[in-house]
Amino acid sequence: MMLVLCPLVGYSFVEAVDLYGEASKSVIGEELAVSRMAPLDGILVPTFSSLYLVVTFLFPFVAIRILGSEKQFGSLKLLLQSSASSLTVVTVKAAVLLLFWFFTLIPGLCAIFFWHQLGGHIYLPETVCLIAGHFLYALLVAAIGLFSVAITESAQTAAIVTLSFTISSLILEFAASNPGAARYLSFLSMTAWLRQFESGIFALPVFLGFLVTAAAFLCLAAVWITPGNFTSFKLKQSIAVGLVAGALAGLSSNAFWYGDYSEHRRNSFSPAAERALKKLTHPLKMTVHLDPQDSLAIDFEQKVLSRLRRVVRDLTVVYVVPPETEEFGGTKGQYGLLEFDYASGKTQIGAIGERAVLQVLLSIAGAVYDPEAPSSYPGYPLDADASSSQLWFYFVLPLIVLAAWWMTNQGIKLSYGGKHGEMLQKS
Amino acid sequence: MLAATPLLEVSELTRILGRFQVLKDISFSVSEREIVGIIGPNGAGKTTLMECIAGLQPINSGAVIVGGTAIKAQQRKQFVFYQPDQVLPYPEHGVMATLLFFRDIFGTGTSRMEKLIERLRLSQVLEKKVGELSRGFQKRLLLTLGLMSPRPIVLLDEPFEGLDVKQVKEVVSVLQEERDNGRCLILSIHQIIDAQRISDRLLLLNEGKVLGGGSLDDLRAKAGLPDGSLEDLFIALT
Repeated sequence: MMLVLCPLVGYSFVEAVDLYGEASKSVIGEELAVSRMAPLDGILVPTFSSLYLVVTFLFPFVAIRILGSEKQFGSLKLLLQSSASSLTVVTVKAAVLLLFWFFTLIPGLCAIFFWHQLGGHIYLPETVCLIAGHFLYALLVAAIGLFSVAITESAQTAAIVTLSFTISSLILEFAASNPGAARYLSFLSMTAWLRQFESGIFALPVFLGFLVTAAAFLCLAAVWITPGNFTSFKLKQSIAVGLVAGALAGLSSNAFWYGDYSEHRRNSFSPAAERALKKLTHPLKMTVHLDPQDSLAIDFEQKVLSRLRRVVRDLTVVYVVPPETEEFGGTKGQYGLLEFDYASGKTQIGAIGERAVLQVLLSIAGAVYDPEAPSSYPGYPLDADASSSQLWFYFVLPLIVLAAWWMTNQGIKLSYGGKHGEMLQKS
Repeated sequence: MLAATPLLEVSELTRILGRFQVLKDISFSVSEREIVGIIGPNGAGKTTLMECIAGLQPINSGAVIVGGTAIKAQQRKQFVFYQPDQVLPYPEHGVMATLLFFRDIFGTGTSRMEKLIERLRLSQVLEKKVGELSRGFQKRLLLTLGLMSPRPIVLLDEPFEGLDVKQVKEVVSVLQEERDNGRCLILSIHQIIDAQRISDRLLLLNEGKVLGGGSLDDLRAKAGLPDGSLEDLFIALT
């Protein structure tokens, strides 16, 4: 897996630097365009997308192998007779997998180092947030892999089950771009959860969602590898785990805490606006007179509502599809109308846009509106050439991985200092 | 070599798999410092019985009693260790690494491990990978792992499978020494001569039922063959 990951990360990094360089050249002298040049979006996320691909498609096999081979060769039968509980066995396996995941981080960290050496800008909080997201994603994939091994008879079937989860998650993510019912499906996508971290946003409900789901899968794996129980009993235990996890997930979704750690804060209102919006302490209902599939509604959802949901705790959004007129196939006058219902007061506006919505919300909240200061994010354009790092990613790093693997195998033999260990060392 | 107090009692144990009753009302007991050999043809239910006793398979009815107390499946690993046949723990790892791993998870002392390595003549293959071992050495490694477990009751599935005559004699000697040191051993054996050689008592199993149990003389009396060999008794009783 590491041998695949090293060149993949290298390729992504070099391509990202090339594209970033081209974009940087084209924005010279244009202040607004320059401020759009963000290394998080342009370099880090594309580079780490290789890690995402490898964790989605290859990491499950590592997870399956670590428990599946023990099941296949009978070691698990011996292991489960030790004093350790099934949950301990599963947790240790998950910990080993995460330890391995830290090694998979090395190529990405090398890319960050090269970017820094090329003169690229690194903002630590957003970088840490991105890596934390990938860590949580790997934890969940590992837990699903272990669960799949526990419930299936063969490694092949376990692989199919795990990939079904990871690929379904990838597909579900597309639903996120659709407002309405489909959008709610995307809440089940762990890829969509990861995207939040990729945009520099640390969402406590998502963080807890990752942890609760991973813990639930690990508990289920423990339930199903525990020998000596009837399937009916295991099913009852699984339902109990599901109920507890569901309750905890419900509680986690109420954990209302969000932090935007991106330097550009492109996905959030300005700190001043957020502070003012937090004064909206009553339930707020917004009625949007648009078809949720309308491009205007999609844009409004992404640019305004997604930000608002992270600031206003009790927010309800209702879409009302305006009726079409028969003559022109167009819509009646309510198209694009926005109604606000807050603390028994009602307001409506006909314009859908961030500034207009903010003005209304802050005025109905009685908050003093802070005029929007221009974004302080300067942008970090850089036209650099990262092709020299290819040697490192394509040859040197893979060789180091091979050497480390070989040395680790040697180390096992010499780790015993007893009578037979001495004999082994002499030989 | 019979002791008075049963350390392990199996009472009316029944195991049903799907529509098949694999084990039917199995009852027997084993005392401390005793070796009981379970004999029976292939498919008699020997392995299932051992896995049920060890708590690796659920039982539909009956009880497994240790020291006078019925023990639930999950708690049996405190008293019983089952060493399956046909397993190959960590084939890609070295023999020594595997032994050290199980030494650590069983909490066995190094001297105990080294003694077993010598008694079962594993020293010459410590450098090899488990997957590279011959059938005989694989079996000796499994026996070492089984005997490294610190449980008072050890169940060994086909402990002589894959061993030549000389190796069988060596293993018999090791197992008898274990018994003399206070262990209770239950062995599943399909080679009748081996069973006769090592067992203090025998349990004859066929189609999931106990056809007879006791010493060789008890079985002879039951079969009505006063001079019959175990092989004759086996044929007569099955």
